[in-house]
Amino acid sequence: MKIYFFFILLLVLTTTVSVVHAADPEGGKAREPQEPLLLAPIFAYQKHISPVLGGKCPMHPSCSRYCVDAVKKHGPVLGWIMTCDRLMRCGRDELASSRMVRIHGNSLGVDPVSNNDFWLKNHSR
Amino acid sequence: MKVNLFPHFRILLFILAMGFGGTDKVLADSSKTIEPGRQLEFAELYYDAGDFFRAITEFERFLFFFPDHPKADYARYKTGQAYFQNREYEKALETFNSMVKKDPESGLAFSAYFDLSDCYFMLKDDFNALSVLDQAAKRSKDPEYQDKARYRAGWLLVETRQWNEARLFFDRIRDNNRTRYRVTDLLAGLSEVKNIPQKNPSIAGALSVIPGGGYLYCERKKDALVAFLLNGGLIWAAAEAFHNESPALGTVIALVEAGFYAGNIYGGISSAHKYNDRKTVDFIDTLRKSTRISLQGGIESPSVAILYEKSF
Repeated sequence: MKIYFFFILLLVLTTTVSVVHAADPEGGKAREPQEPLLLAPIFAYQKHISPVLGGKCPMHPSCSRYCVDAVKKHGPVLGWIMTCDRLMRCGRDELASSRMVRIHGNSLGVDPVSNNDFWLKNHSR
Repeated sequence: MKVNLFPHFRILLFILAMGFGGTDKVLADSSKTIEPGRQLEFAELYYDAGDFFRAITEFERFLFFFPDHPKADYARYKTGQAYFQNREYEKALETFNSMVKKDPESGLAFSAYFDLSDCYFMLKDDFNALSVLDQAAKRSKDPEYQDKARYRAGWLLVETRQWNEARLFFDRIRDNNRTRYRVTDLLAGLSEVKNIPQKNPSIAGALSVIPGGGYLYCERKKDALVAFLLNGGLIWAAAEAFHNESPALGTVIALVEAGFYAGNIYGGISSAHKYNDRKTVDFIDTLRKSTRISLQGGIESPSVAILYEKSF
């Protein structure tokens, strides 16, 4: 029974395109519009798990930030596909060709969403 | 990085001279006169020191107090340049546009056309960047200026990867300026465009049917291995789950694997595009270093090359 519940929850999280317009309980400021509910686990990871792990992603932005950016820009389906691609590339061959940036004393490879979707629209630069 | 402190020192001396040089006189007189020459000099000190934000303020102060001064147009031009250096391209555009509209035939307006083109380029409006240069070349009666405009237009087209059009602009430079602008070297360099190494994105996508194939085709061996092992592992895990009569677990794993498999295909195609882009940028950089001249003479310094650095 538990496994079915988990399955349904995962299905809901990965297919929903509903948006959250809830107010921020802290400042009363409206949350960013069109923020897919799908991103809730990513925000939870950033808030509760990443600080414990130490945030060791060698890329900038980090993979979780990249996921948020990709989903916001391209929606949940392509955003998730781009995130999977990024997870497979993180910290290996990409570092050899990326521009490097120093953040908090760490040298990180710059790889924003725009570096990986520029070819989707036909432009010269 | 070597920092030139001399302009800052000059600014400090200038402020000290203004503040203490004539203390008695200042105390005696309740008002102080700003001299146009000194004000302009002060603004230029900030500009030369690289403090463009303060330079803009001081140039605007000059223009406010001396709008009819013979050097007002020069101050306006420098304000535009300071905005550009401060990366405020919209404001720089506005300033240069007002100059060109006010007196389109003046020497400073012809300089402003080039700056306008640079502003449009930085704002990624390639069409207007080129059209301003074309307009300037047509408006000017000076053949030297026309060649300069053609040279700039040619490079603009190189930066935007319009090779054939760039070749046409370089080819229109007059015979007596062809050596100076190294037109022969440029045209020879541009003929090498067909030799830029390229990867076919469609082939990369097709090879990605086998996980990691697309990455491997794009010379990303480590990414290819990770993609192969990860996708292979997830496919095997899903199959095992179904085999062990755990369809729910199998479906969850299969769903996750679908994302990674699609990501592997997307990554293969994307890697091919990135490979092509990187090789083209390398080609332009090499061409720039070996043939581009500064319009003041000599090979252009790397700092100018950074101005045109591609950011995508």
